Amino acid sequence: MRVVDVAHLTKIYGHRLNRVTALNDLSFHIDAGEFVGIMGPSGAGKSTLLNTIATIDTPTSGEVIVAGQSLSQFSESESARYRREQLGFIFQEFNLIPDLTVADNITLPLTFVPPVPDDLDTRLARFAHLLGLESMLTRYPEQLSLGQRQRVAAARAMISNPALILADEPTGSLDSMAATELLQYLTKLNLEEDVTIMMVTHDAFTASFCNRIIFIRDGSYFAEVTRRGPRQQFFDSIIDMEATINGGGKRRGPSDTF
Amino acid sequence: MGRLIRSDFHRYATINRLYVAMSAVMVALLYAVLALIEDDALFAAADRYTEVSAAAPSVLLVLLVVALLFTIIFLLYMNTLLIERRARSISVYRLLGMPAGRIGLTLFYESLLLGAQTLVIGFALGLLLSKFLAMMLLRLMALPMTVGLLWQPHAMLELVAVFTVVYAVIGVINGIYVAHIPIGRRYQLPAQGLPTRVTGWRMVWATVGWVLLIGSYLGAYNLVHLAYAVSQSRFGHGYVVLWAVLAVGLVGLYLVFRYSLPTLTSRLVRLPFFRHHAVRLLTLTNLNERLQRNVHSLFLTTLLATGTITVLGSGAIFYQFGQAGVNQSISMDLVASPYGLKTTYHDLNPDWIKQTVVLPTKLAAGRLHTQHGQPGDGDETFYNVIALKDYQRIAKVQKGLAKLTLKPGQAVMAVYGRSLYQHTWLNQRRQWSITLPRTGQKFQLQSVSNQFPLGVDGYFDRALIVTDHDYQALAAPRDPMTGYQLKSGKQVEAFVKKAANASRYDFLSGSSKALTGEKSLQLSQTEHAGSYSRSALRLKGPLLAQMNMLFGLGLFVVILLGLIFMIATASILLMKQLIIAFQERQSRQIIRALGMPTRAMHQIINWQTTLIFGLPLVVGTFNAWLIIHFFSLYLDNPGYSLVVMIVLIYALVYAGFGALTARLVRRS
Ligand SMILES: Nc1ncnc2c1ncn2[C@@H]1O[C@H](COP(=O)(O)OP(=O)(O)OP(=O)(O)O)[C@@H](O)[C@H]1O
Ligand SMILES: [Mg+2]
Repeated sequence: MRVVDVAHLTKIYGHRLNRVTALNDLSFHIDAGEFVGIMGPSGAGKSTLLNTIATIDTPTSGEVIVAGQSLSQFSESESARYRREQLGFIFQEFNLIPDLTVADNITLPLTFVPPVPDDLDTRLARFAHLLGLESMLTRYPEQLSLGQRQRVAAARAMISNPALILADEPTGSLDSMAATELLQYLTKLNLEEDVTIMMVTHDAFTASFCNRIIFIRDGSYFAEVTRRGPRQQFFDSIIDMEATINGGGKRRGPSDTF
Repeated sequence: MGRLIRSDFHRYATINRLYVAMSAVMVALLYAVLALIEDDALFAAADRYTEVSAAAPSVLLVLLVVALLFTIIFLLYMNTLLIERRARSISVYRLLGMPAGRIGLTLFYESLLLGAQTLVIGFALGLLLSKFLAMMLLRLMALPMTVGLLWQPHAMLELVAVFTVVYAVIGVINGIYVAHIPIGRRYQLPAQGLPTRVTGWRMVWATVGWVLLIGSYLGAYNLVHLAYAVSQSRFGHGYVVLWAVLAVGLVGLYLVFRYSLPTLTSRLVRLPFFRHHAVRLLTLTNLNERLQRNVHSLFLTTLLATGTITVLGSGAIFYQFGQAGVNQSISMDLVASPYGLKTTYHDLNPDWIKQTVVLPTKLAAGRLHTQHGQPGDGDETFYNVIALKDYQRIAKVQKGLAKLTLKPGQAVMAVYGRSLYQHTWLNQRRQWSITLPRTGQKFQLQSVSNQFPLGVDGYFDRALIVTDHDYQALAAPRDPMTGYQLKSGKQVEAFVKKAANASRYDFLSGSSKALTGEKSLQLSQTEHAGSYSRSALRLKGPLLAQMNMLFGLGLFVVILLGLIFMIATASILLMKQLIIAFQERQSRQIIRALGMPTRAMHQIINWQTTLIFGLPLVVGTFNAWLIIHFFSLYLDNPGYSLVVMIVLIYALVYAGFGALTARLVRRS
């Protein structure tokens, strides 16, 4: 079953004089239960793509269909509801509310519209435990390290049990230990709870946790790599593709990253 | 550099426009007042009325100076708000190598440019306003004249000179500020507030704040009695209490803003009622943050609101006092004693009389008994004793005279300036009585009033209303009063003028023997040492004109001051909210991205604005009410209707500013 269907998506920023084509006739689709990575050079349009799927940005033309609903048909309140109920978003720059405690930041999306779920506190406890945040629930974002903030952002994205998680560089600020942990957790969510995940990343190691990588360049579909065998092999083919997309970049040895 | 100015102007267009608009309104008011002062023709025409109108220009000049000083302080304060907000981008310019001098010069020109805009708009607005203000002044002073727009180039030049200096100074301040912005390291926003933890000391201060504030409120409410009690003790003078209550109140209020409210909000934030409802939670955290980061601007606006409402309210109460005072003094157009009547009767044409009322009274000395040591106990003075049926008859035609029911042996005392007899919980009026020593009659006091039939000016001192039977039984000299309601017309006016110039008095010997009832009372037309006197012929018209002039001018000054204060208060709040909204733009984008419905987001903004605007308004109204209540006691409760009206108008305009703020924040 298709969860995300992106068809001829184009996004142009700006007006006549300085136009930036962030997405250019991009099409692909994602099936339920997939863990898809999005890769591409900086400025390729990855964040724009995720924002469009999240209805934070509206496309200039083309369409995105999520779980059978066309996003362009949504009214403002419907898209807010869609973001709230069907989507979990881990932003590139965490986007935590500085005035709220970690606990309140995590549960915030559940309290937007009453009624609040009865198991709010048990859910909070579960995700705090899973992401190792128990000891810092009463702290404020400023009092956390970047990696801890990223984990709070992840917990917030997951707490509403979304069917689709969009993650923009979720491991950007984590050391490899913490990154591995978070990725293992995402994988577990993906496998056990059947959550579909789309993750933007620059890092081949992070990408190797996915089952498929879509490469985009200059806002268009460039190529994709699907995992068939062991992770090491997948990792190598990702590195190869990165080299191709950058017109022959330096190949990093997998041993550095592992 | 020109490009830099232009791009900055563009970038801060909304806020600059607001800044110009607010300052322009202030300039417009200043111009209108100055034009009024300099309009010689206006006051020359008014001169023939009284000396009050002759003094009007100097009163207005004082108003102008106060308003001007206030406007300058306001502009300086606004400027600091505006420049701080730009510190970040300025520090980037400097980091990139732009010389501080150049940026300083840019800011200097920018300040002059904004000033020029302000003055042009201000003068245009001021011209329109001048006619309106002049008409309002004449109306309030009851001067029957009309005026047009006041075009006074001279006044404009003076203001241009003053404001050129002001804006140049502001420009220089900004230039100096720029030179001191740190470069090299990243410019930090003012400590993005981590909510401070509730420590033991904070709890202590929070509690002290509440105690002081509530204590001063109780003190203020019972100020009259407190002052009396202190003046009776050996601790000092009564007015010490006034200052003490004021000082304690200020400190208490500050502590409440600084410690008690933040402690309260950071406690409340933990309740599920707030935690489980994003609108409530975000509203409260925002308030909490404001209390922790901007407590000074909140405290300042609260004081400003208090000041404004107090000034407006007391102006209104004094005006009302003037009006009520005239009616309280003389309730009909002409009130005369038998002697007064005798001297004018031949001048008074019966055709001019609309209505005649006769009030028989008897004169007696009396002694008041209250609790031992309480104010008023043992007072000996003269009473005009009135029968209930006569009182009720007058009450039908005299507004404000309450209907009474009395049992035999009961009485109502009318006294001018009854603040010390006021009923409060410190001073319960129980078992008060009056004896008339000459006849030995004793009356239980049923109540104390400040309303005299036909007006207090007809009485030597106090009045005592008793039942018809008790009145019959009283053997005492008669002192009837006659009141006339006159028709209007030229001849009547001439008569009133002539009668007003002839001053005639009745006298009553105030010797101790007369007061203790050992000697009978004698009315005479000659004065002796210690005599009680009253005017034998009393006219309402001239008194009313005088009062209108005086209190009308006062009310005008007060309304203008109130207007300027209010614009300042609301502007500070508006600017602060807008600047914070710009800073919190990212947080709003986050919660929107997380799926908060637009409606809920608007609710948060509306709530935040309501709280931030409501806090100074509510606290200010309460403070002001206590102060006005105190004035009102001293002025014998002239009534609150005008006060309520003026405060309502204030609140309405203020709410308008709030609505505008919410709108601008929603759009930002
Ligand atoms: N709000 C905007 N207005 C104008 N142009 C924009 C806007 N947002 C993004 N762009 C442009 O669109 C293009 C794609 O940006 P996007 O943020 O999607 O890149 P990205 O692939 O996420 O890059 P990175 O890996 O650096 O995060 C860029 O050229 C960017 O400059
Ligand atoms: Mg990006």
